[in-house]
Parts: sequence; structure tokens; C-alpha cells
Amino acid sequence: MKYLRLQYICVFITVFAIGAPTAAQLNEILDTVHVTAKSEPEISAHDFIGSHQSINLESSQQHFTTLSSLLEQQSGIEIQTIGGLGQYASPVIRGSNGKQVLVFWDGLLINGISGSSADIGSLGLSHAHSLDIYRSLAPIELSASSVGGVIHIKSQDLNTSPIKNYGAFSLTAGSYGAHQMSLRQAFEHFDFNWLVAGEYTEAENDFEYLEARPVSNPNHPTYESRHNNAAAQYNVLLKGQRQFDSHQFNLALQSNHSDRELSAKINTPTNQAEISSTSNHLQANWLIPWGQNNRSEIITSLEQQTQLFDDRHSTVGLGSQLNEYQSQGYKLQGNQYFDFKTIESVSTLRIQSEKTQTDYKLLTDEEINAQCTAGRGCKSPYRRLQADLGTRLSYRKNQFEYSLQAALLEIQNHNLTSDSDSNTTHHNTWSIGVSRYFDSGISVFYSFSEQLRVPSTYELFGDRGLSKGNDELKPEQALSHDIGLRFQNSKLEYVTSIYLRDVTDAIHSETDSSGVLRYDNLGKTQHLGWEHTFTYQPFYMLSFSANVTLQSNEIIEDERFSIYEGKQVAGYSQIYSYTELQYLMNSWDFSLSHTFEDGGYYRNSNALAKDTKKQWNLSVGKNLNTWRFSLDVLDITNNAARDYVEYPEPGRQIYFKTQTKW
Amino acid sequence: MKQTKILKPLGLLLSASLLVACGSDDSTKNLIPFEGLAIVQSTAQGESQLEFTDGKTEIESGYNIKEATDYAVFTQGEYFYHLGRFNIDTLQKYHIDSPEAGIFPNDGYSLRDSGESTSANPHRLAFVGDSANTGVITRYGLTEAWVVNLDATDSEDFLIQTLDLSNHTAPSSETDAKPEMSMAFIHDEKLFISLQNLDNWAPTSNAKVVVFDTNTWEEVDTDASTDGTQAISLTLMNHQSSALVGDQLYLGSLVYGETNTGGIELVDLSTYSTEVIIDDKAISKMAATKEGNIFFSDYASWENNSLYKLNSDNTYQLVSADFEGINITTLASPDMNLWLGTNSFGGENQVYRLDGTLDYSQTHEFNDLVLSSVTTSFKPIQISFMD
Repeated sequence: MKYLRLQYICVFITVFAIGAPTAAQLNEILDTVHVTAKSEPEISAHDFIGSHQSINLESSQQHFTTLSSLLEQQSGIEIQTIGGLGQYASPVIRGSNGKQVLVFWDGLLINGISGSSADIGSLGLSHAHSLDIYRSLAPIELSASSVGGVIHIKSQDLNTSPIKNYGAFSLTAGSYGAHQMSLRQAFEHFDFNWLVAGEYTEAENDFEYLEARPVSNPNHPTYESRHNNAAAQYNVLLKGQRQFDSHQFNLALQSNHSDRELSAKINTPTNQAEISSTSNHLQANWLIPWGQNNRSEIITSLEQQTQLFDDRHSTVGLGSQLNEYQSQGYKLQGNQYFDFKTIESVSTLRIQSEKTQTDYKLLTDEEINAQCTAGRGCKSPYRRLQADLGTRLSYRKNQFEYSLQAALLEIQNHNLTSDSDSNTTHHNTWSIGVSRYFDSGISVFYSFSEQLRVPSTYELFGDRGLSKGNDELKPEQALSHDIGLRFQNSKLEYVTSIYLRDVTDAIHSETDSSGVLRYDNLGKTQHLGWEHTFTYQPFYMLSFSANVTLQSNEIIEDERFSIYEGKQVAGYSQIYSYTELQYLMNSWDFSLSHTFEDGGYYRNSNALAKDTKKQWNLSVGKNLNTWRFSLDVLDITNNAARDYVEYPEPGRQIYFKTQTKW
Repeated sequence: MKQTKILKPLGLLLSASLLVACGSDDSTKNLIPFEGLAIVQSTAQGESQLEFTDGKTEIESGYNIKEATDYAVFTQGEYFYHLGRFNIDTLQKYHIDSPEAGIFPNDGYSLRDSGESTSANPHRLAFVGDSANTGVITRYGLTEAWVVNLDATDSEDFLIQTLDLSNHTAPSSETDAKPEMSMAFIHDEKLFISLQNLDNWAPTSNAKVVVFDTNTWEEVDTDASTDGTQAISLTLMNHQSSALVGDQLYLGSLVYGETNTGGIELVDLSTYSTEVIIDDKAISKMAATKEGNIFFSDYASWENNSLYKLNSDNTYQLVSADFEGINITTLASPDMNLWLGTNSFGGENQVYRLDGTLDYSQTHEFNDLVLSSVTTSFKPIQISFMD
């Protein structure tokens, strides 16, 4: 199987079935993996001080799960979705908004440096190996600044020489036309260790919900199927690593494609709107050790993204459109690590560029010019060039650790059709932290930071005709305190943290007297919360875990609507929790979990409370020789709580997954 | 209306009993305790509400809060009507004594027909005659206006008849074949409907006013010299605002561009003649007082509007330097004075009552002009007055 190609998947499936692993191998595969930390050789959630967490995903992959549902099980994280498998989903951490949370995959920024919200609904988990969550800060190796935290999805590390051949395959069928297939194979060839992985997911998402104004009879509410809500996507990863005498070279190619139908407020089968997205990333990484304690790392990447918005029948409300949004970018980064016994440091120099442009395929040049001057979307390309230089220092002595991270950023935004529309801004960010470890298994930490979110190019230059640009926008600023405690022994682990984050110059959209929308720095918010993570495993067969988050996301100042002051920022729950009981019995495993979210509002006036999410989930798994079978029932009671008031959720879903590894 | 207690001090987080700090007040607001009533449709970030005010000192907020902003309010007699526009497509009726108790079933009657999957995007409700039981609704997203029974107790009785305007997209070809019917006026037993006739959201020179007889609902031919039933052709484009004084209809035009353009076009509702009286300003809002004084605001750029008085010789005069280059969100008039909505003074959302009887041959100071003001919760975008 050294010459594996994706088109040979069927042959491959047959081969792996013949080469089934032994029972001993199976036991290794199916061992319970705890959702706790272990140090990684490179960027890790524990390299610096703060509320960070690393999740090994192997146990999560024993059942059907999505990145969204996995993240929602963690304290401090909520996911806002628009209903259905594979549809848009955006994470928020500690009351941040989607644009403030940075999502990386193997070091590549999913948001793009233009500053979009990260859409995690189209990201597959099958070839992910671990997940790092940084709730307050970003390590300098990933980003020079983060107002709303970081989620870093990492694939399998190939740092074994030579790598043993191993692979995995899974097949899932579920409610509302859901199917998922994944395949993963690691092998060695041409002195390289290779990993090739792919995942394909599709779902009709035609669940039933109560429609207040059905097309068939708008005056009589009735239950009907959600129309034009399907999603299909594939993700492919090819990753290689070669170990030279002292150097290491890594290469990764990621390709993602998704086709999403776009449901409209008027639920109709005549709606044919959809959006197709393709992204390709190529990344190379060269690790060069310098003696025992120092090493250099050079990273370069190229990325290309294309999004085709097709609403030729004008059903979602923006007029007849067939628009292609393109972006191309590159990154060049150097990391220098030093380790002097009690002092460690990493310095990063990074240059990134991203160019975005739009092709209005239904319009003539004359019509595009008319549309542009009318403020309804221009063809003109924009480029953002970002350079940052940062350092993190850590000092350890007598069970104390101190850290300092600081960075300088230079950002240049350029309207490529106009020499005059270029602006360059300079910013700096910093954080300090201290932690203390006790022999009793307790550790405590405190960190304090000042971070920022640079306005997105859409906020600065206008968003595809939806909004008018405002090139005078200032970055959102965040001042954060984070204090935490961790206790751990052989059976019990408890982690708690309290955070306070003040965000100033918060960017909101606002319409004028003619309904034209523009972004502006209009407010201040304060985010205060208390997070708990509790895990108890009295004996091997039984484990219990609970995450509870209590938070307030208060609007301190709103320059346009003072009535909002003192209210909760819309969209976030004030309490949310996830509890899970797991039981293992011979080759069977059972899990019962509950998700609870309450105290949120759909709008800033807090007039309408968000649906309370009370979701019970049941999972049953069975290991049989080299195979594993699992059944997941999600939202057993059909709660179907909505994240957005306009978008219904699917409610009860059943998934059956079969998988094997070798 | 729900009231929220914010979890402010950290100590409160210790108590699970305060996790969901909501109290509720289930009592329905039924009485508006003042007279000379105006209803303000106001909007904020993704939501809207109705606010009741006398424009002087009294204001009651928090009525009919909706999770959408595209609503309008219309008044007739003791009733007011809440119109849900794009992708909402509903009309609900309320009595002023029970301003939160909808009279029509559910959230009101749908303005989409059974089987219709395109938003009707209703823009205006015009009342036919004094009986208050017949209305005309312009449906911007479709080709037919609706004549409706405002006393209907069942959805089957709501639609009286349709007025087909699809033939008025000619002579310019349009990609959407919709006339973009916008404003509606009743005058001398005739219905006047303005058409924007946009082409893929771009204004065309095919703007019109279509006339119907409100007794027969037959379309009126406005040009006997041309074959067929003709509408009134307009010169300017994309008319979005209006003021009606006697049989003189003033239509404000706004065309977005690098420099916004437009003007005011005068339509004589008796002779069907038209005249462009201003062509050097993009017009955003208009209103006429009972005395026939016409005020308008221009649209220079985003949140950059100035208030003008139209003179009898069709020139115009800046009303006040204090009302120049501000965000004017609405203009309306119930009597001899002018009501103006803005959020440009101290960041507050406000409705100002301006003295409409002054000599406007010169500009006025703020204090000379402003009779009173009230602060609204949300941004005022439309004002309608109870009789």
C-alpha cells in the first residue's frame, strides 16, 4: 500500500479487510484516551501560561462527532450554527465573536489574515489527531494577537523514524441523509514518512420544523421539511516528513471543498441558492537544530481559496447573483528557539499577505462599475500585508514559572485599483503570566494581557455589496485577566479559572437613513466568567466528567443605543454545561451526556430569550475483532434549540458508525 | 416585557440561583396615557419596536418588539397597522387601547398568496376612503398590489382583489420583470402607485406613477394621446420619498453614485403632468405640514443629511446650520410642525418637533427652531400619527 492514491479507495478497503489487525492491536486502538494534556515537542497548549487545553481526539473518533459538537463540550466555548450537518458553524470562546476567534489547522489560519469569521462547519475531524484550545491568548508561533482565543487542530505527528504502516477507515450513516466516509493511511516511502487522509461528508439536512409561514398556505403554520439545506464536503490531507542527519523537513498539502445549499427565510423547494468553497494549502517546514538547546524553524505556505455564491434566481434576498470570491496568500515565518536551563525563549518573525477579489459573473463591466459607485459591491481587489515580530520568554525556578510574550505588528491594507487607498498601521501586544506548582498536585496561574483584533478588510473596504467600507476603523482592544487552579491525582482532575476581559472600540455595524450599512467602533463590552472542568474516574470502567461555565458578557457602552448598556451581548448563554457518564463493559461502552445552555438572548435589547438548550445524547459502542460499531442518538428529546432565531435546528438525530484500524 | 439583571459582581457567579437572572413582567401594556399620539417605528441592531409619544414630554417604549428591522407602521382612526416587509410579508392590526393585542390571527395576515415563494416585500399601506376597512398594499417584490379588507376576521376574506402592474416594466427590459411598486396615495377617489422599475437593483429611467379608479379598480389612462392605458412617466429615477399637498404630489429621487444624484419631481394628480423642480440634490426624506410647507433632507453621503425647506418658487433653503450634515432618519408632520428623527445630537436617538411656521427665507438657530424633543429607545425611522 505504499503507492496509495485516493482513487484506489475501493481496492484499499478490500486490502485492509484482509490485513486485519490482531486482538492485541485492537486493544491498543480502542484504549480510552483521556481528554487531558500531554506535552508536545512543538507548539503546545502548555508552553505558556493561561487557560489552555489539549484534547487527544482518538477517543472522540470512536463515535460519530463533529468539530462543533466536540468544542461545545468544553468549558468556555459555544458554537453558533445555522442548522444541519456541514452547514455554517462558528465558535465563540468566552463571549468573543466569530471574528475574534482564530482557528488554525496545522498552523494554517482558517480565518485568513483578512479577518473573516472562521467557519468550522466544513472542517472534518477524521484526520485530526489533537486539538489545542487557547482561551485567552495565542502563542506567538501561531499569531501575534488574539482577542477571542485560538483553536488549533493538529493532524497526526509523523515524528517517528521510520514510521510503521497503519491506517483507519470509517463509514457513517445518519439521520436526514447524512453519510460520512473517512480513510487514513501512514506509510514510509523515499525516506519520507507519509500520511494521507481523506474525509467525505454529505447530509440532506431536510429535518422537520414548525414553519410559521409555509409557502403552501402562509396563514396556517405547519410542520414541514427544511428545503435547500444540504451540504457536502471533502477534506484531503497529504503530509510528509523526512529526517535528515540533523534536520527535519515537513511538507503538507491540504485540500477542502464544500457545496452548501443556502436555505432562505421563505422555506421553498424552488430555492436553488448555494455556495461552493474550495481551498488549497501547501506548507513546508524545515527544522534545524543548533546544538542541544537551540533550534530554528522555517515555515512557508501558500494558500488559495475560491468561493462561488450562486443565487441566480434571487431567492435569498440579495438580487440575482453569481459571484466568485477569490483569495490568494502566502506566509513566510521563522521561529528561533533557545533553551538555557531555566530560561526558554522563542522568537518569531512572520510575513503574511492575502489578496482578495470578486468576480461578478452575471454583470458586464459597465454594470459592475455602476454597482460599485452605488456602494453595492466592487470588483476591485484588496491586499493585506502583515508583518509581525514577537518573543516569548519563560523562566522557571523553585516551582514558579514566569512568562512574558510581546509582539509588534505592521499591517498594510491596499486597494489595488487605487494607489491612494493604502494605509499602514502599527500595533503591539503583550502578555505576562506567573504560575506556581505544588507537590500536592495543585498548580495555580495568573496571566494579564493586552491584545487586539485588526478590522477585517471587509469591514474596512465593504463587504461584497452588503456593507459600505469604513477605512477609519480602529482595532478592537482587549485587556484580559485570567486566573486559574488545577488539581490532579490518579482518579480526579479539577480545573477552574476566572477571567475578566474588557473590550474597547468594539466594531459593530450600523445602518443610516437609507438603510446603507457600515461598520464603526461603537462600544465597550466586559466579559466575566468562571469555568470548571471536573473529571472523576473511580475505577477503570466508570468515568464522569463535567464542564460548567458561568459568564456575563455585558455591554458597557454603546454609542448608538444607550439602552443596550447593562444588557447582555446577544448570542451568548450565561450558563452552559456539559456532563457525561461513561461506562465500559467487556467489549461494550456506553455514554450518556447532557448539554445545557441558558440565559442568552437573540438581540442586544435582551427582549427575547434564546432557546434553552437541554440536549441529551446517548452513545453505545461495540468492539468486535478488528471492527468497531457505534450508535449515537443526539438530542434524544428533540429539543432543537436555535442558536439564531431565524434558523431552525435539526433536533433528534441518529448516527451509526462502523470503523476499523490496522 | 422581560427585564434583565446583569451578573455584575464576580460574587454573584458563585450563586447558581442567579445564573439566569431574568424576571418577567407578564402584564400587557394596554393604555397609552397621553393624547396627540404619534407612533414611532424604531430600529436597532437586528431588532425593532414601536414607541408611542406626544413629541413633547411623554414616551412609552418597548411595544411590538421584533427580531427584525424591516417593519413599518400606518395609522387610521383608532387603529394602527404593523407591516412586515422583506421576507416577513405580514400585516397585523391593533387598536390603540390594546397596542400589543393583535386583532388578526397569528402574527397577522400573510401578504403572500398560497404557493408564492417570493417575498411580497410590502412597502406601503394606503387607506381607501374614510370607512377604514379597505386598504391598498404595494408589494415591492411582486407584480400585483393588493386591495385588502382591513376588517377581515378570516384570511379567506382578507384579499379583495389584486391590481396587476406587470405590464408597466415596459418599455425598458428588466431582468426581474417586477415594477418595484413603492409608494401609494389616495386622492380624489383615485389610487396612485409609484414604480421604481429597478433593473437588477439599479435605477432606470422607467420610473412611473400608475393610476387606478378606487371605485372600479380599473386602471386610469393618463395619456389619451397614446394608444393603450398609460401611466404617468417620470423623469427622475428611484423615487423613495414623497409629500402630498392638495393635488400636488412631490416625489423625492435618490440615485446612489460616487456623487449621489436625484431631485424632486412634482406630479399634478389632476392633470397628470410632471415637472422636475429640483435636480441638484439626492433626496432622502420628505414631509409636508398641514399648511403646505414642504421640508426635505438630502443624502450627501453615509449619515450626512441636511434639512431644507422647499420654497414656493421651487428653490430651497437650508433650515438650520444645526441640522446640516447630520443623520436625519425620518421626517413627518401631523399639523403645522415638522417632526424629525435623528441620532446625531449627543448620540441619543431622538425625535424633534420643529416649528414649521417660521419664515424660512433664512436659516434659524437650534433654540428658535426646536419646540420640543423626546428620546426614543431605538433609532426612529418612521413616524405615523393617530387622528
